Amino acid sequence: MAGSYIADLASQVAFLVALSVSLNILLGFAGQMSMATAAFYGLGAYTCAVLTSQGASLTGESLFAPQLPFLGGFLGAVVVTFFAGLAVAAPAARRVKGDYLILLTLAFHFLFITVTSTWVDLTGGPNGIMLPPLSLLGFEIKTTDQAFWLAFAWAVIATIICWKIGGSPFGRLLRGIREDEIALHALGKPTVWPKSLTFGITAAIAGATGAVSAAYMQFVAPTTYSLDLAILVAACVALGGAGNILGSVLAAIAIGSLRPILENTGLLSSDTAVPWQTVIYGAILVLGMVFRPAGLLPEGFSFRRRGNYYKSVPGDNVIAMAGHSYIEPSGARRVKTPKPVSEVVVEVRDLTKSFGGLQATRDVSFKLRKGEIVALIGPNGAGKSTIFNQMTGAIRPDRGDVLLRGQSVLGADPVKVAKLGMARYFQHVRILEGMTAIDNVALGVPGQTGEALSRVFLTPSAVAKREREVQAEARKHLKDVGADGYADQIARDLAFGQQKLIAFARLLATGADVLLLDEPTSGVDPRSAQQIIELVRELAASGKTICIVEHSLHVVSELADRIVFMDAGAVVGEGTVEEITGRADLVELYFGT
Amino acid sequence: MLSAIENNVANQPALLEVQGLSARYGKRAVLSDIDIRLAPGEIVAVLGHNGAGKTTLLHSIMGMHDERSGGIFYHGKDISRRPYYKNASDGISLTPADAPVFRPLSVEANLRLGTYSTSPKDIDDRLEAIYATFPHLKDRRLQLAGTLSGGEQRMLAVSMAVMNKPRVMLLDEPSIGLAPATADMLMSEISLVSKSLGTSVLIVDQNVRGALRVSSRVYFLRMGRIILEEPAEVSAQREHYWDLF
Amino acid sequence: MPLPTGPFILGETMTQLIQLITFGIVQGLTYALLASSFWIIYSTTRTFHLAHSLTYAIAGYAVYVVSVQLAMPLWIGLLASLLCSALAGCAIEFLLYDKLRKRGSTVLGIFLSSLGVAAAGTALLQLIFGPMVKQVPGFPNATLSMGEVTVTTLQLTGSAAALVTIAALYVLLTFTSIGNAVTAVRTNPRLSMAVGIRVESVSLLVFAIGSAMAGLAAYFETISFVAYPTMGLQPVMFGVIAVFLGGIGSVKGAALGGFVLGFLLVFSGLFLSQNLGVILVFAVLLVIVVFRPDGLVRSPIGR
Repeated sequence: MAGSYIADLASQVAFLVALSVSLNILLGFAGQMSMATAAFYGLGAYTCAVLTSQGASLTGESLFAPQLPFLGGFLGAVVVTFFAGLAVAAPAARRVKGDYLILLTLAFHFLFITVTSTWVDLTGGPNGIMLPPLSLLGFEIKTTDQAFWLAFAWAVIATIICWKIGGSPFGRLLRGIREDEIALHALGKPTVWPKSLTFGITAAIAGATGAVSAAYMQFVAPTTYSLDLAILVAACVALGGAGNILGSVLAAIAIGSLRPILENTGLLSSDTAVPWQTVIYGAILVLGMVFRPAGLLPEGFSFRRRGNYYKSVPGDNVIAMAGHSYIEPSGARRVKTPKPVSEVVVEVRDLTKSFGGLQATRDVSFKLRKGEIVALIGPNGAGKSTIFNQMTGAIRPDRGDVLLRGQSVLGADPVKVAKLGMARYFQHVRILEGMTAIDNVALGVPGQTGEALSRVFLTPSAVAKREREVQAEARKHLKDVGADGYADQIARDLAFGQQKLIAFARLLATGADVLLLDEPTSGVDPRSAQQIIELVRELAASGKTICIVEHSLHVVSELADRIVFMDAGAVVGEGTVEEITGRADLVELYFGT
Repeated sequence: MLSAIENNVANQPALLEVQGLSARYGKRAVLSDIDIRLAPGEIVAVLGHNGAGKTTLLHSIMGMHDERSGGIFYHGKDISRRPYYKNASDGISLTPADAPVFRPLSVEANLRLGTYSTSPKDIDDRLEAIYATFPHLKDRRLQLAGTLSGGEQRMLAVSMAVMNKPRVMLLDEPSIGLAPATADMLMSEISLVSKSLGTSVLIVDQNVRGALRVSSRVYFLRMGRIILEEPAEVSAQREHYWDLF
Repeated sequence: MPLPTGPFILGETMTQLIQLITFGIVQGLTYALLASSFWIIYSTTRTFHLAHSLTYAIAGYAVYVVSVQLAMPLWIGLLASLLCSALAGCAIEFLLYDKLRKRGSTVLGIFLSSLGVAAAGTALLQLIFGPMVKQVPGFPNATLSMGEVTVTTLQLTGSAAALVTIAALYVLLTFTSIGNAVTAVRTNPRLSMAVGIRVESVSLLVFAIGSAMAGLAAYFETISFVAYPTMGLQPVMFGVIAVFLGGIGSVKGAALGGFVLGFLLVFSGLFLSQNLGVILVFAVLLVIVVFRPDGLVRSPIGR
């Protein structure tokens, strides 16, 4: 194709931009590492080539060749790579994580390279496939300058798609997945399908980019789709800033322009410019990981907000509170007025579970009533956490049942249980550290239109309307727990006590009326602890049903209306704080003989 | 009587002294402003609810937890910036509560690794001494540690520490998961070791009564702070400890 | 494809079978060596060390520089390979991974930095030595035949070296105190620290051992075939697959995984075409990862 050198280079940069923004959705937003970028890019290119070529490779072998127009090849590439992405995600989205994901995507890359270089009948083997001159909707593209506009247009479209995804509630869900999947499950958000879909979309955008590039170069061959390309794209995402689409665009333009700049300084020949480009981006990637792991433009970075983005939070410092006393005269303890007996909301029946030979829980039964605070206490290893895990569906009991408003929730997973209105608060908070307080809480809100990706693109106004409601609701919950002052702060930068409050706001956002709290006050300073204790009391007064596991008896005596005492997996006592602490046999169990 | 004991302790120079220790995990404050003293040959218990910061306290002393501030003095020397392997070779040992033995290695390999930091010449004699105390371990010396029962693993774990003839033993919940009789046996063994080697022991446990029987002083830790220090015999008189947990 | 064709005479197929088994052993031992080399690093430090491929290539060029450019004997080339690869591995661990871990870097961050090292290093090799492949001739390579079955002295030497090295690693890990320290750090880093094992030193040690093992494999590939900048990619990839195939719990698992992989690739050549062999490997890997994530060999007592 005739045309200018600059246009040719600019097209290559445009392809790199499209690949980088699509990988950012998967790697930066959803936190899933993929080494298969080059493979999907190549798969799209080959699909388009096979569908549009004239049926003869360089060596003259006959190929499967339907000779479709370019748009046919393009659509074919999108469909094929989308489903290939889903297929790779199938094991990845369910149980395979981290290193296994790297392994699987790497293996997929090698599989692709092997197949394209050896399945000569279809792919032309090492010689590749020639494509006909590019024509789009009857308009023939003759020069590189014209073709550049196609590449440019595609890069813009890909960027807009990824930008839309990233900024939508679906994108927020993906960032939640990156931060902590278990926390999302406990908020009633499923993660398998969003992850799979993201794999499919990233693959499809890479595949479509491959199709455009194949038509542009009029040639495909296995060597184009090397692992180096996959590394290059990952480098653009990491350097630009994971979770920041604009960062990926800028990084791709900067790194993609390295080679022409190197070539034109006159220092390097075109033979050495490519390896030098690799040396430079490899080195930048290494240095970036050491000195600026969040990338040049970190997630959430905005030029306008820059002034206060990094501002540290005036937190409740433990050291500053050191003078505060923990020991209170026992007379100062809250005198509880007995509450009227209310309806039973949760009934735990005969929960029994053993791991291997170890009996973790044995015939555990108790009831939770509306507006009541029940504390589960007992020595280490008594089985309290195992009970919570069985109640929320994280562990399936061997025997027994859990009834929520009379309905059994046995067999439901944590997502379903949370949706039914029984939500869990974790001991170590499981806050989504890399997200703002308001995003943390917004993720808790159920029934979000924008968490369905199709709605983001098909009914944007309905999504925007619902999102305004979600934001308002999230803000209200933050205000309720007294944390609205730091709504836009990244959770990581907040004090632990503040993080715990945000976790409470998130819990309230789910609308659950049964709250299972695992050590709500551990690890915070006395003032925050007191704040949380007040909050839990208010929640109970407002009609929530509350069960806490707490090791500090001090806190238990402040909060609990009733105590269920467990030892060695079984319930050995039940009653008020006074009744339980007065029993000599329980003293022996708790403090030894 | 109380003042007599206090005087007694105060007269001895402390072997290990923790001053104003605070520790955190990221944003989570775990310990604040902890002061603890340990005299030579003394057994001291630190008691408190789960999550009170007991394990972090031991890790901080050992040099295995870096997010901390405050002084740690050993033989009067500040060791708060010294790495764990120096502490191990200088007579401090730590026995963890979770996974206290190397499961895929034999009993004997475990015992030998106990002396990894000092590589003493008389390692075989020390082995024999351990085997004399725990014939059980001798019978199983070539068995993998992971195949031992819970009680045997605890015995092995404490023996690994003893192999290195430490000046200070830090024991994290040595009786967790043990039957009462086994726990008693282990506690008396620890007491014997302390007497015969002159080792000071800092013991962290949830078995309050068991720990009180062997120790001379006790600290109560709640939500990361020392809320009470008293002689063990005074503590042992208490009917219950609800208000301290 | 060297598929058995024509009328099958029993004797001939037997010969082919024995020949294939011989190739399977040769291939299997090579992959077992590569798998063990990646395994010792991965299982001890939990670092997905993809820059292992760079270490491999450095060893290949080391023998080229020493035995061709400097015209020294091949055994000095071998020493150079082992030394350079060990140094390269240790340098990456000491200067990069160790720093990243101490800065609280994520697993993903460490992996990305590993990618950066692999890409930049490989490109540097190409800049220094040029894109052309490098040959290192001179190994007295004869073809031995027993009846119809043939094997070269080079294959025999390489296999023997791989076997001896894997056995030596097993002995080191099982019977020596330093080996026990490696197992200790691998399975219980916290207790290792408590008994005073310096975890950083053990990490450096396993990088030295694993990298030298990769260097040995690279040495034999270079004197058998050629050295080129990206030569480490495919062997290390198959090594990684073999580790996950066999199981990360023990060196036996990793080595067995390598052996199975080698046999799988060789024998699929008999019944299927070569590329279908790779598809088969991928399929087996998928099944293992999804249904038996601990790999073929499970540790009997856990970690």
